[in-house]
Amino acid sequence: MDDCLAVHRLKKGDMGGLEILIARYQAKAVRTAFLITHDQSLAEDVVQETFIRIYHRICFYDDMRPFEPYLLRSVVHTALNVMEKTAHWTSLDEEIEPDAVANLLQRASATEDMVEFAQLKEEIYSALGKLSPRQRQVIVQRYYLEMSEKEMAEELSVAPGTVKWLLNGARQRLRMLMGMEGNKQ
Amino acid sequence: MKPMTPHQILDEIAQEHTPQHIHLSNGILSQIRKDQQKTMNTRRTAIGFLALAALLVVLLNNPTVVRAIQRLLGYVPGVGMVDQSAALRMLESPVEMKRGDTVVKVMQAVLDAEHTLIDIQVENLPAPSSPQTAQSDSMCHQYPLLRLKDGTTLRGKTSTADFWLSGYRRSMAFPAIPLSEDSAVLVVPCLEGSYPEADKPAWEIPLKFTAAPPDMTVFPLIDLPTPTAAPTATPTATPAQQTTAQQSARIPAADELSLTLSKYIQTDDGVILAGGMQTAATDFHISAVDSIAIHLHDAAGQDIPLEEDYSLIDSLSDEMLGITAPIIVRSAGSFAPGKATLTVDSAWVDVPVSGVAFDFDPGENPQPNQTWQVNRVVEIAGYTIHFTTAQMAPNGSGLTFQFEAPSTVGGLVLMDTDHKILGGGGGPGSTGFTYADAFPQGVLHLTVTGLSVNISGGWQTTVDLPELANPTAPAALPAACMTQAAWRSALQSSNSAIPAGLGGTLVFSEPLDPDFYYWVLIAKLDGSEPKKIKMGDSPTLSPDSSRIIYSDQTGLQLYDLASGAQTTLAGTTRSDRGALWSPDGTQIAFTRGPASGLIGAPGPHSIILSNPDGANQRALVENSDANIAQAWLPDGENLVYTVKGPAGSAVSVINILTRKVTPLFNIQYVNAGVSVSPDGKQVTYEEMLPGDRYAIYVSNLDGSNKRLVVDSHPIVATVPQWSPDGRWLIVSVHDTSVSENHAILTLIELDTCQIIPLLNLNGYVSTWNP
Repeated sequence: MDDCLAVHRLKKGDMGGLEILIARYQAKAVRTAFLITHDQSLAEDVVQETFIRIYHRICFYDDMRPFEPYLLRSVVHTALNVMEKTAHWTSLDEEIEPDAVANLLQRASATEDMVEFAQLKEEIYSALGKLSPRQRQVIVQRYYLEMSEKEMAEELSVAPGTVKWLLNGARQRLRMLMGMEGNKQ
Repeated sequence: MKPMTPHQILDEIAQEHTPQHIHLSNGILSQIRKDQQKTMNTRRTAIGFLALAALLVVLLNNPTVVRAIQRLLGYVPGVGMVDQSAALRMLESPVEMKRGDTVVKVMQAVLDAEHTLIDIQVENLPAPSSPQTAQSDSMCHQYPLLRLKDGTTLRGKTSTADFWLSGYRRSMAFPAIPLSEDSAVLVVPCLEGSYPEADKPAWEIPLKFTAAPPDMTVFPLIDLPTPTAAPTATPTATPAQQTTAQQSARIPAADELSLTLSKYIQTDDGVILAGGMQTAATDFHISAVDSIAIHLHDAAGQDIPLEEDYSLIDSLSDEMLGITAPIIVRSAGSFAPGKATLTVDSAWVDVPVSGVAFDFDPGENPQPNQTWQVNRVVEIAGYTIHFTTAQMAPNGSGLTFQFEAPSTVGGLVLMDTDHKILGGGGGPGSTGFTYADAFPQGVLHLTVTGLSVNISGGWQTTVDLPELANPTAPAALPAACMTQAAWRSALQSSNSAIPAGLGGTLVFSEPLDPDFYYWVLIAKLDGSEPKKIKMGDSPTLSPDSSRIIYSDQTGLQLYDLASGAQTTLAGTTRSDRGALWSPDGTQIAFTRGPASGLIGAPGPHSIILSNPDGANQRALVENSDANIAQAWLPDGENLVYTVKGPAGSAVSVINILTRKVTPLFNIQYVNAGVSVSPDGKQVTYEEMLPGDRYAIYVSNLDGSNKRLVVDSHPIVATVPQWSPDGRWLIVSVHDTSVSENHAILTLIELDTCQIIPLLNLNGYVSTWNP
């Protein structure tokens, strides 16, 4: 059964349609959420909440659209909301920026050395953990969901150039705003 | 190694830190069913309720007599809980903005010390200007914002929403607006479900706030006194539930749990009760109470329908400390004043298990996706668990075990305690885990560490219900023909043969295994001569039973039963649904959705007339409403249709020659289907009863002489159709104890209330011809 028909069934009130969609996408959705929450059980909560939200709004879902990107983008939004509600997520004394993670990803994707790859992967995981959830969102949208900067700009309701700024400078700006590193911009 | 893309790298990182076997379905569906009260007798239903369990009766004094403590929290109908620690403010007057037929209304706003609560209603959603617009990846899913004078933008959370195709209503909770601000602008970037276009700016609606009048209705949240009996702290498990000395899994006795009502709100037309299940024990956890296990009986012994209201949980969570399985219910319908009893039949508890283990040998070289027959039976506290199969994860990092267990076992936790585990879990029928490191070599020693079980308790507490201030509250319902008990009795009855003389041809649709695509089917009433026609739905059979028109992804399809020839009706698309043959078979009426061509897309819906081959299409009803064609009257000159709206469905009849519309009656269910009796004098339709219970009524054409035919909650019956002789209805019954995915076609004789389940026929009937 394709996603379109599963959504159609769901729109008719048939919960079997939702079960199919959950079975099909829950693993990837949890992985997407985990990249932002860095907490497995929180990631599962996020995915649960996202599916429930989709269920309640399914009558407005355009079933000509592919379901997977719609779901995963919704997961990203929910994960971010949850993280911003819970706070206490980042320490400002780390020198990690989204672009550093992007650089690590580029290096890891270029290497053919297994040992170096494993090390880089560890570094990426660790570095992700030091980003704010919003910065993780940007990384996940750009590199995991493979959204274009234009799509990201639309999702984030910002000008396309702002996405680059978000990828590179958000943290520096935050530090400056908090008076922690004056002229560093 | 082959280089990986950034996506693959991130995916691998995420996979390493999340379980390979994730089973969220049960939790999600359970939560939705709780939210919606759309319970269809889930597997978790404790059908065999055992009233033998110890009964804890917590007697409460009359809250209207005891010294009620009015807290700062209060309840505003339609808004929710508000904090009255500072003076409340509200919208000076309702505001609306129009563009063409489309209206955005701000119905209500209440400002308290913590929130700005705003209720928005959108009517007459615009249709997309072109299918191209609709098919772009641009449907609006943005929520409104609030903009203050200094340009600050507030983002809100949404709690509830209702949709009816041509419009919606949404409640938003924004952060508090400073007292110094008496105005704000509600910015609606786009209308949900519509297609924003570049030349259409956001809706900006100025709001003006003022002090709430002293007589504004705010119902106090009343503390109920501490229950007179507390749960026992000392375990008193029954001997039958103990395991052997080596095995330990203590199933709590019912008297270790208690039902507490801690808060109470009395409104004009009912009461809201807040409380839940709690325990003093620390060696188990009460995880949930199924909504169908909660009952309120008034002083006259009448079963009062209840609606769970989880929108209040956040507001009341601080008020219900110690409660792990909260219950917030509101009464629906009238009740007798006086001492009422709230009963919880059963609750789900999670208990730790130790000493229950078995060895599993995956062999020397286990492979991803490999399956093993396990066939291992363990007894845990009197529950027999049969592990049937095991399967290795696709990436080889863990195992999933399938098991069979009594329906009162909701799940169990199985671990390999000899090796580091990354995570695990499961639901009814399966459990699994993922190793943190490489899959271990050799025989694995697996241990059951936890069990989720449903225990019966019959916990009760009493509360004095007040006189209702609103005399218009709905009266008690008469008994229906088909109740849950009558359905169960019919299922077990040996007298389920179709009466002599009752027959005919059914055309229906049904999602078929294994892919659950909808198929158009035809069969005799007794199930004979079944035939799969085509993939599609909403089929109807011509009056001479020679042709079927149904809907599929490309449009309306005309199928000739004799030749098997199929043609697409010219000029139709997938947005055209529900074709209805006129009584003489010379024309059809159908519903046309917005130009997007999407099924169920929001926006105006028209009713179209045409020849059966699709020629001569002309609009019969065309406006900004969501109009749905329902049934022809036998004269062939009048068509019954419904208009979806915020209050449900308005039923009308339109004369196809004069276009004169005659309103008939209203149904409080937005998705109601209506069928006209063969003599044209009566209708049968779906309705939603208080407590969100699905029901089926029969009434005269004008809605008078309304008779409740089906009220079988939590069994759901839908889509009623008349027999050719007008004496019977055929309905689709969802009973998950019989089938998880298929609706059972069922006959109900209106005169005698005889119920005949047709266990060999599943689906949704749209035509029953002689």
